Amino acid sequence: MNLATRDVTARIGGSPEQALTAWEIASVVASALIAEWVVLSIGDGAQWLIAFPLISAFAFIIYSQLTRGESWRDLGCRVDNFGAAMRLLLPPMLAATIFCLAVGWFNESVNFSRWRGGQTILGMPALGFLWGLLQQFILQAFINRRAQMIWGAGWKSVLSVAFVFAALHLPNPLLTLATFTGGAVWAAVYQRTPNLFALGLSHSIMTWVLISNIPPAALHGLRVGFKYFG
Amino acid sequence: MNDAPREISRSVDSDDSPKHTRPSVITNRDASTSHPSDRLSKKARLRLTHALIAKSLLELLFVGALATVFYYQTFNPYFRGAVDVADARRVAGWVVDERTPAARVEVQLYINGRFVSSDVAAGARPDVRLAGRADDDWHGFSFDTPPLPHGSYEARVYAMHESGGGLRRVMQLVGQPWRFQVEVETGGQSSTPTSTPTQTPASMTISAPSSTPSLISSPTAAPAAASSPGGDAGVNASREKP
Repeated sequence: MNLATRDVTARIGGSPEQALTAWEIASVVASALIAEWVVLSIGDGAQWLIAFPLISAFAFIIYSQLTRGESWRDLGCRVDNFGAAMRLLLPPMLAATIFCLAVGWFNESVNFSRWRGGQTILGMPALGFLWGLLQQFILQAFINRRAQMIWGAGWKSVLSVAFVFAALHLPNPLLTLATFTGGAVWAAVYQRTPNLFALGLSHSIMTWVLISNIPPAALHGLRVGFKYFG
Repeated sequence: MNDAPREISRSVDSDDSPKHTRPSVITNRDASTSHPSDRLSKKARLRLTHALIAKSLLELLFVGALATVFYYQTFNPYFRGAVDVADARRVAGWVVDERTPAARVEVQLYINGRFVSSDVAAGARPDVRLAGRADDDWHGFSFDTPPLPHGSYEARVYAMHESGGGLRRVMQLVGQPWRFQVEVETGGQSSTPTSTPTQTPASMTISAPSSTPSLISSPTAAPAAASSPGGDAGVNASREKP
């Protein structure tokens, strides 16, 4: 076990540091909620304001990681364990794909051409991968690592990551359920084999599988936050 | 559940590295296993705390500013106006958007919560201009009250405001709700008032808000009468101080 893993899995000890770490998580989650629930409620013409909470969150994430001395390798931006991470990801991905295909076949809603995009940014492969990578970076390289600093590696931190990921997809019920499940799997894999590229790839593939098989009406256009109602 | 974290923490750091060669000691919840170097220095902790406070304050200001701007755009706080009269014959008053005094405001009449009519407040009200509320005379409205059976009614006039490029339309109450009584059914032959033409029809008693000395006024005449927005004892004076 290298120093990076030890850094993450080590318990911090002492409630002030745990509180500070929990505050870090809450702060970044708050930024995302502001973007989803406040800025998007303003309506057309003001979407560019979403840049403020996003920049604020990213600036803080980078600052926190620098302050804590986390390297890119620590965070999972590496390729040496890509294969190992993919091996861990493949079984749940396969199971989820079979499930989605069954649902799509049953509902006669299988349509892999939705991948071309147009409905959402996730429809485009390249941007889909980048979007997945970005989400996994925040979710794993920041929230997961800090959750481990509070609770240690294990089910508590895995579930907390899944809860956060699901909460950010409220009030879309299907997406909340899917992200809770996916969040738990990805968090567990990251704790075992931290590789953001594998997780980003898995994220984008599963999004593609989801939107290609689940009826669009059920997914509600992948809309989350206030936009879900619009 | 102590086994679970231990299992997960056996990180597969690399495809080439031997797996599970070292048991995890760091996930052991025993405090003695925590590594001193894993802890933040006091200075780093302070820096992070300051950054968190700064971020929280900035976002608080951002959300506050956003809410304020949104409120001003969506719920126009610059509407000024009043309902001068509401009875079985008509509901009349004036309304001005002080942010754009030259604009005509769309108004809607509701009686007992039900939509009755919509109009643009563009009737002659020189008293409004004289009171300094507007640059021109054309800010009055007057609705014909629909035929109503005997009973008690409440009239509300709302100014309509559009924002978000037409995506949002909000209604704002003009003045205060007016309650009035219809004692003889209006509309058709039975609606003929039994009162004399020189006074408020006896068949209709108007219950105006308190401190409203004048009940009936013409929007097109006697601008300095009681209902004038600049009048000393007018309906508007009791609600709006020009």
